[in-house]
Amino acid sequence: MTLSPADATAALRDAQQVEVRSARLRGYQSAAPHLMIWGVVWAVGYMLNYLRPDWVNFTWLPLVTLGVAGDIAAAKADGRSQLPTATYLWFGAAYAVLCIGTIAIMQPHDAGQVAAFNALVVAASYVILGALGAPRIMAIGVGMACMTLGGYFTLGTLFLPWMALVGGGGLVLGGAWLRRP
Amino acid sequence: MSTGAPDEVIHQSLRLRIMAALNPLPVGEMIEFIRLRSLVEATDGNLGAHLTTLEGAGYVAIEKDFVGKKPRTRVTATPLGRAAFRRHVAYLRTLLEEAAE
Repeated sequence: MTLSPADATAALRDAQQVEVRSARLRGYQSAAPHLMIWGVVWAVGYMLNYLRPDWVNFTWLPLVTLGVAGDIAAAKADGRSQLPTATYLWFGAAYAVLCIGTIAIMQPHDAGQVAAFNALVVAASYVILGALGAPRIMAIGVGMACMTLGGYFTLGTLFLPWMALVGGGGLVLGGAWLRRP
Repeated sequence: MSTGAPDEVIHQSLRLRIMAALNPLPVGEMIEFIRLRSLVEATDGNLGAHLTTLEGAGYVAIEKDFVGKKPRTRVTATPLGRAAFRRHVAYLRTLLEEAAE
């Protein structure tokens, strides 16, 4: 069997494209349950913030703890995480320091500002991750940012239920989209 | 003069794409038939036929089971198949390097 350089070039290009798509799809599958977990956390948390604003100091700590526990369980069940645990811990710590530090400095006046800020930080993270080769993650980040900003500037007191239904629901739907072939 | 030779089984374009789709997965991890079909852009019949050829060569392992009442077919690359894929890709690269000299 003889192969021409043109045949070899075409075969290598073809193989490389499929390898990239396969690795990307695998990454999407790993990410999907995490988006769905946090979608549920957001939905419950923001709805509770809206319905019971007096509970705000007790709402998020248990929910975030549950979310992190869900993340760990999902990563273990998946068994194919591409990053070491320490990397996730560093990401989580950086996110927590950024959010808590910024909120402490900027002193927001209401829960809507905090919700919008957190959502925009997450959306920006997704866009950055997506730009590294995951277009679906980027699309979810852009969608989240648009919905957050649109809701914040137009919905007033309905912003928190908007974040619960559209933000949380959007993350769940985004996770379902990542699972698709 | 090129070292090595093309792999007679993987040389075929769809079989090369199948092995390229399976290669990035961790050893032993299986991918569902429908997901693989989407990745390599093949029809059911075509993909099934080429998987049978790859299985016959020992390059892939195929598992069939049921999820509830739905049949499920899953595929993984064997260590032999991964090594053959790497050799074939190395052969293609060598061919190109020699052509460029």
